[in-house]
Amino acid sequence: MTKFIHTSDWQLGMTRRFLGDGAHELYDQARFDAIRAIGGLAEAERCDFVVVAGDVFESNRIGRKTLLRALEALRQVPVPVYLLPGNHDPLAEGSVYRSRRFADNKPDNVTVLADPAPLTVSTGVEVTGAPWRSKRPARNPVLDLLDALEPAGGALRVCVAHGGVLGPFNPGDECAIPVDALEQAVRDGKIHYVALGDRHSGEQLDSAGRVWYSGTPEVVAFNEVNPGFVNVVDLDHDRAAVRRERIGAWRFEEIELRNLLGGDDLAGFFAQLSAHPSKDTTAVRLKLSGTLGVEDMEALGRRIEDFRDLFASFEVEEDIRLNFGDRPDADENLGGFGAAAAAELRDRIAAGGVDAPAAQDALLLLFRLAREEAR
Amino acid sequence: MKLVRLRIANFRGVRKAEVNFAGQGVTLVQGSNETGKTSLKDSIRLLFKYKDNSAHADIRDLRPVGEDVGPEIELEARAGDLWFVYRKVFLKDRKTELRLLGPEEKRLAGTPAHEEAERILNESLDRDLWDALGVDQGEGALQPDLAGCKPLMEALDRASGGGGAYDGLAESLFGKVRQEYLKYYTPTGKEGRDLVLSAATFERVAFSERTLGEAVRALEDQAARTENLRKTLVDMHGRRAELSKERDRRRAELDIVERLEREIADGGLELMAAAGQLAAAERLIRERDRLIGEEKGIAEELDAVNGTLAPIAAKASDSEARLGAARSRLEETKTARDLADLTFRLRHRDSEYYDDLLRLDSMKKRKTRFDESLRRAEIAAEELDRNPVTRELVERIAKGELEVAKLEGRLEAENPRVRVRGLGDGRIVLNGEDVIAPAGEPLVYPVRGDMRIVVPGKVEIVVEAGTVSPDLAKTLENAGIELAALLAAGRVSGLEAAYAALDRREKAVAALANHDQIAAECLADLSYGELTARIESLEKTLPAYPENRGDLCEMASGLDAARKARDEAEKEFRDTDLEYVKARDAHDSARESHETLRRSQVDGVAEAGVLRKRLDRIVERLNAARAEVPDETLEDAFRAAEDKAKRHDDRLKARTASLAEKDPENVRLLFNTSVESLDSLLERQKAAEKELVGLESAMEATGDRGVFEELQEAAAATETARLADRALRRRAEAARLLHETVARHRDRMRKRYVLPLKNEVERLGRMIFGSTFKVTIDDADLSITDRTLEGRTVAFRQLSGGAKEQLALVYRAACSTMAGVAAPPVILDDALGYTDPQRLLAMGAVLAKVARETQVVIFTCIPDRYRNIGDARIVELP
Repeated sequence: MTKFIHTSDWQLGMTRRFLGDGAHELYDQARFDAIRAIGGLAEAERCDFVVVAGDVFESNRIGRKTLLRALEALRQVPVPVYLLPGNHDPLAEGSVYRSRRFADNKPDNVTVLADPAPLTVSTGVEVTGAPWRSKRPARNPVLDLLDALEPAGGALRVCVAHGGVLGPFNPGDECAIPVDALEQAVRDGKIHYVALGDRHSGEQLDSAGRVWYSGTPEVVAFNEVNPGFVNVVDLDHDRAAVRRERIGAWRFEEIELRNLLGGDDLAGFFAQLSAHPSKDTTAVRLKLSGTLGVEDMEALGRRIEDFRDLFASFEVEEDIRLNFGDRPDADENLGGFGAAAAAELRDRIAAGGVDAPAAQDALLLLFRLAREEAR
Repeated sequence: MKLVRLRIANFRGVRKAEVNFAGQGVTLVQGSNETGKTSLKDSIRLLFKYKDNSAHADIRDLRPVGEDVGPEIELEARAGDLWFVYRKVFLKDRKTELRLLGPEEKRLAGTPAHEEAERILNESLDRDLWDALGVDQGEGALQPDLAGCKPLMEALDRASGGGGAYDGLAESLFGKVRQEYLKYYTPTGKEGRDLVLSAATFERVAFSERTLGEAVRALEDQAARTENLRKTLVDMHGRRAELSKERDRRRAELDIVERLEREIADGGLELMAAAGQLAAAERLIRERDRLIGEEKGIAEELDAVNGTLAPIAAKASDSEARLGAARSRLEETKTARDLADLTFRLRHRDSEYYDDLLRLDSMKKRKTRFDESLRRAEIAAEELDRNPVTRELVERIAKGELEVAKLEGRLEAENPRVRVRGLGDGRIVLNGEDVIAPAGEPLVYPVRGDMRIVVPGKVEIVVEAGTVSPDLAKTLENAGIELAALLAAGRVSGLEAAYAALDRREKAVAALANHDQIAAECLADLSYGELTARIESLEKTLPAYPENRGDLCEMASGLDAARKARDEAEKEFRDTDLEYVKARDAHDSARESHETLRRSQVDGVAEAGVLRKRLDRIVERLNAARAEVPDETLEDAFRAAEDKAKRHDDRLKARTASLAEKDPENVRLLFNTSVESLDSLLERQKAAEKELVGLESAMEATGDRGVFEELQEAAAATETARLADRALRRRAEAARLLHETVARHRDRMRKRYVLPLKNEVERLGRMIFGSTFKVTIDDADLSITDRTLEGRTVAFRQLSGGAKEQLALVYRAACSTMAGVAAPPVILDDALGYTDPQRLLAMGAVLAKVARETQVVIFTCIPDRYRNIGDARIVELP
């Protein structure tokens, strides 16, 4: 039997647009730290090795610094690490794995799975990888690997592959992998575990629990389900036990609040956000819609400003209409032509034309100025 | 607020001044220059504006020069039901005191006093309006800015029908709105600095992103190219092996072809050698044959020559005999002919001899005739020499004689005549001239002069002429002289003689002419000398001929006979000559034949000799050759060479056919093509490898730069800039829309306020300018833009200083009356300096009207200006 860590999609060198300069530095660092954390976990779990199932790098065009930092972090992993070139960093021309700098700085514990021939990684344990050789191969390389592979005999064989799996949403996708082909290979005794990469969310794909996506160890997109984990795999001929271990420190949270009707709706949410424990490593994408009174609206604006300073990123997409109620309490500070102007803006908002949002902004501005003037 | 009392001390140049204001109406504070009027006026504003500890220049300037005292201001005033005294001392012994006198007494000091006074002031009057309604020295012609004055605007609002459109807060809110707007836009509505910068920032980062995108794409392209190159190189490698194989295969084919070609070349050489040998053998045989043939030919030739020599010798003998006969005949005929020739010549000379005889006779006759003619000619010539009478002379003589005769006739008729008649044959001398006096008829002589008639020996008779007609006589004399001259010229005695002379002369002329004719006939083509010489020659030679001619033959007698003999001799000569010619021709022919035969004979002998020698030599050579190589050996060798050449030829043909089957051109072409293909491939491979190396280093360099991450960062920056720009533009748009909306409503309000203000200005203005006075009020700032009088409109800025001053004061008055009880005191400092007395009168009425509702304080050094105000408290400053 053997025990190893299955991870993938580190996407090192990737930039997130919504993160500001300071936040991005933290985020970048977190992703290198994740490698060290995996190393720590491997040591703690007494793993034999680590496999990274593709997309170690966001691109073959990553900068020198990123590459060197990655290799430095890998050097600190106390067990062998097997890197599979994926569709982001294929083993094509100009591949980062073929660069002189990679060769010059590659730690001894790191092996690139550049060849499908099974590697014996420890007694009775083999790793075989299906590296991507271009961004768009004619078909997924793992299929060729499986076709050519002989049954493993007495050895335990871990297959490392990359790519989406064939499903109802991508019929005919030639790069996609039919899961049944993987299951069949498992049944045929050619392989005993398939470490898949590409999908950033971890998932078991077969009933036997031998075909898995590990997901990315550190979140990289808002739409990822349960990112930030690695698979700790206990593998034997008769069983495969996979345990999901959290590695990632960052969270990208997409929050949607619909049909807001008043400050009460917001208050709870604000309290929840205020209590968020790790705001500096959390990016929030907030979607708001509904109707608010002027004061609530202004309070919302103020809170958003506050959260923007607190969270790593705080994006807001709002579709909120002002509610003036029966008595336009906000007009208290307005008189004369000021009141007339406010009335006109209210009419425009009510008419809902193309300039309604601008009219709403203008009216809110008028209220603010009037309030300041009244003070 | 109403002013009750104002006191200042140590204030600029004023040690102390105090004014008690009228509770109602106008307070006219009069005093000379520098009595403190302006200081009093200024002190009210300074009192409220500055705290006692202010170090503002306005305050510092209050201290009297060279005095260490604190400027002091004290104002007693009422505001609503409040009655207070407010006092401040600045700079030294600073102090602020507010004493409320009613409704409740209260004292405040220091800052609280200041603040309380401030509050009272703000609540009781509009400070803007207060400032606006006052007129400082020299500012009378300026219109105040009253558009922001709350009491005025409220009044205008009320006057325009109310509705509360004016709102003080709104007015100040508008300021803020405007301020907010100006954060984003320029006063002229263009995008402001922030918006421009934001757009520029966005554009800059977007450009950077695009540039990096291009760099990344270029890198991708390079990678793709590299990958292609690698694939190509792999293909090339395979292709190279194929091409090498192909080339080797073609090489093997070509080797076979080349071996064949070499064999063919060698076979060709061998064939050529065999052919050479064959040719040599052939040559030897031909040479032997030629020798044999030659020997045979010469022998035959010799036989033939020898065969022809005997008949030639026989013929030569015959021809020699014939030649001898011909030669004899020739000599015979020649002799005959020569004799005939000599005879003929002699006969010819005989004939000529007779001819010459005849010719001599003729020539002699001709000479004689010529000589006679010549003699006659000489006589004629002499006659001509002697006789000058010409026909013309004769005619003149005849005429002269006729004249003389006529004159003599006439004279005779008049003059005596002498008739002489001979009596025998007597001779007389008449006038010295011998005259024969004929018998019978007398001779009649006119007597013209003295006439001497002598009968010789007998008598001399002199007849003396009279003088009957001297003229006629003279004429006759002249005529006679003339005639005599003519006769002398003709050497004749008279007309008869003249005629005779003429006849002789003419005959001589004819004789001369005849001689010429005869000379021509006699001499013909000869000269006279020649003729004579010939005659002499013939006469000398002819007589000797008969003796000297020889005796070859008898000389014929006479010309005719001679001629006949000559002709016969000639015929004889011709005949003999003909015979001679024939004999000569026959001789020539015989000689020629003979010589030809002789030559043939000699030639034949010589030829036979030569042939003999040649034959000997050939035989010698042939024998020698045969001794060396017999004829049979030569033939054997030739046949052997022939066989060998044929063998080589057959083999060569077989090889050539074999080579042709291989299609050597094609084989060579295919081989060359395979080599070229391989070379071309190698070159392309080299180029591809070079390009690959270049691409790899380029990619490595770019890769190191981390262009992909730069692009991502640039994209993030673009996104950030885009969001920031969007947010900024959203705020800007809100500010713009708000500004636009509020400004529109404010303007609408102001337009409503124009009419009541205009009405009030015109109402007051008509008191000064008359019933046609009208003004236009600006919508935006409520100022007067123009004035109309008597239908004539003039812009405010174009008005005279006086009119501006008056209009500005009327405008203030109108604002004050509109503001009503809310109006602050109107304080004028020496206004209306440019106003004429007539208008001053009317201005007084206006001010009086204002003063009914508002406290009016006028500081002036010329009180007379305001004497028409009516009920005014006058305060004299010392």
